[in-house]
Amino acid sequence: MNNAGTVVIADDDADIRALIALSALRAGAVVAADVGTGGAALEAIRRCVPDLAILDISMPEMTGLEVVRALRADPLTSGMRVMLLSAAVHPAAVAEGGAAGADAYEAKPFSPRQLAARIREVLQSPPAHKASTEFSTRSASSRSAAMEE
Amino acid sequence: MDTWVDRPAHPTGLAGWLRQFAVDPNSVLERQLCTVAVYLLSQLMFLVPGISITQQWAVALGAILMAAATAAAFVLGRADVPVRAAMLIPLIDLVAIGFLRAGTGGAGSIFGALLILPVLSLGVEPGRLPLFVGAPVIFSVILLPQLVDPSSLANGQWIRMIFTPMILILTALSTNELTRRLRSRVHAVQVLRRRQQRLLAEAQDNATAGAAASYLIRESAHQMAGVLDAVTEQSVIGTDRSGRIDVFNAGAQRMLGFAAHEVIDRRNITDFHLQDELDQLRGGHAGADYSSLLDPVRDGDASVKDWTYRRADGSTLRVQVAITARHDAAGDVEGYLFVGTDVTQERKQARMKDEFVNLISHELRTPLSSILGYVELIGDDEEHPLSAEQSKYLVTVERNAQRLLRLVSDLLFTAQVESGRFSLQVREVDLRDVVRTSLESAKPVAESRDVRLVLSQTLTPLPVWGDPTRLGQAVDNLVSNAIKFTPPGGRVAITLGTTADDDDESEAALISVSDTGIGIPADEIDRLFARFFRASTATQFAIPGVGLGLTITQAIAAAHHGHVGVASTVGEGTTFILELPLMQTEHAADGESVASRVGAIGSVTMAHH
Repeated sequence: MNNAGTVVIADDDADIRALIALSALRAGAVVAADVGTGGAALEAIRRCVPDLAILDISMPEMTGLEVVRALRADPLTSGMRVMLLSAAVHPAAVAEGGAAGADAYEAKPFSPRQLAARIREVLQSPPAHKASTEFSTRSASSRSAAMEE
Repeated sequence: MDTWVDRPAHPTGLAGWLRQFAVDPNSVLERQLCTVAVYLLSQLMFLVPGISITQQWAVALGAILMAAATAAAFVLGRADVPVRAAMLIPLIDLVAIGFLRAGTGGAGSIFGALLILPVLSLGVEPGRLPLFVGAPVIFSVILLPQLVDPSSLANGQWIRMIFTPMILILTALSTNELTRRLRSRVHAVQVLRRRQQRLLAEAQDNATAGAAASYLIRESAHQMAGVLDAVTEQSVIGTDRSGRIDVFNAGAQRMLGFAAHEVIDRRNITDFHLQDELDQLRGGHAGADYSSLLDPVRDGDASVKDWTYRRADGSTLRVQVAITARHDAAGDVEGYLFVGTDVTQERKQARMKDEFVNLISHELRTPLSSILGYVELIGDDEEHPLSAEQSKYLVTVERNAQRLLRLVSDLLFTAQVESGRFSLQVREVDLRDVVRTSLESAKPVAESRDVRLVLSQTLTPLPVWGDPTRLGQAVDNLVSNAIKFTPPGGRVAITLGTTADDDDESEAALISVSDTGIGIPADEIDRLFARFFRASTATQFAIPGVGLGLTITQAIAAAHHGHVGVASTVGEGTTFILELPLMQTEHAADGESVASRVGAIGSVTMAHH
């Protein structure tokens, strides 16, 4: 399935960035940009307005949460899909992501196979963002990591 | 026994010698000595011409009786002789003078006047008895001369014989009455004086005791102030019931930057608190005051809590304050004591530690994310399939990466437990599902180690309120431990059940995990749940692990108001039992009740240790 949508990827770790990009490609998406800082992410998103932004939380300049808040505050990007991807697994972090306005929250470490499926899923879902009602999460915990195999 | 006057404490000389014979120094013996003296003086009358002895035997008998009375006075005056006996002496005197009178001219004897002395002495004797006894004796004595010599009776003498005794008896009666009154007055004075002396002594005692007490109070106040001021690292602030400060020690002065005189009787304890924090006690409503601070202390418990205190310069510090009630002697609350410890640094360090743990955990997870992600990509690459050997190696890489990831998670979780902050996402959980999931994931490992997993469970659900992820983690730990410590060919039995409790309210769910493994020495059981503790059998058999699993399991159980028990025999096996409070089934059926409980619990932060 080609061209399921465009994505912008932001993560301060280049290897992870490449892994997310591979997952997005597997989901049939086109990677419009992949950047290493929050500021660059905001700039790239405003420039190309992708269908989905996949953001790490802990990044230089701006955190992923700050980027989400900025996107939601901007009419141009307020309705776009945003997925947070973070190693912060405790429920409070997940709740914070939801409150900031993210559509999905994925935990690190992730399985590229499963991430591709999630990206496809999110891209196929209606883009209209309604704060905190459509927020979906996957069990984010050390246990899930232990259980996956 | 009445006494006339107090005796001198230490009598000396003749008087002293005499007084040792007398119960009453003014009584019998002294009176008798006076009588004897007058009697002896009267004998000089015989030198007067015209006065002669008419009956010598009577005079001699009188003298003998007088001597006998005097001798008797020495004896009867002694303390051990009944006081009534003393009246015998004037009576003998009367008879003695009677005989003297009879021997010297009878009714006309000049010695008749001597009778007045024993009569007075008789009257002085306490009580009326001497008068009743004395009256016939006086009559007899007056009549005595006539009995001895009837011829001595002259004309008109009969009148005298009637009147003289009557006058003498009346004299005795008057004396008796006067001395009785005098005696009672003296007695009253003595009573008053004794009372006065007693009061004086008491007053002196009181004054001495008062001085001693005020000294002790000053000393103890001084000592208390010294002790309080020696506490320089903690603030000790005392208040009355309204919160007004009356104690402010050196530690408080140092901590808050106020001098004691600026605060005592001038400020309220709430002046140091942030209004926001006080309002939070009232559920965020403004206007919370001193009384909201004291709510937890009212039923007698101490309240220990972190508060923000405001210093004199406006800066703030974090203080752990223990509030206790102060009681007066009657046991009523007279005020409160606030003992504060500055925990600003401690809390800052705890925060830094949390941040550090989070950072490390993040930094360790990121490379692990890459490793696991790329390992999966290599395995999934359909264009370049791996050889069997390469696949085997890749599985090993992945297994170890997962192991490393688990270790990082365990360390992070342990740090959260230690800092008392880990959250539970509680909901209704069927323990059977939790156990099934755990066994499902443990199966491959068990099979690879040739350990048989046996599950026996109830037919009915085992609902508990809990965090399914954390409960799963606890069961995973117990099951994976059991497999790890059981040699190939062994068996791990997982049993689900409930406590056989008659009281439904306290019924609990039990998950028991028994293995046929190497066991744990009895003396190590107590330390088993300590962080990083590893049983000697574990190290002996080189079984991998860091000693965090049971610590975590126990913390999870405690956060769910349950606990973990263990029984083990070295060489035979170990049984762990996880006990969790069972949700009441009627609650489970009651949707509204369930919803309200979820609302109430929602996401809770469990404090542990």
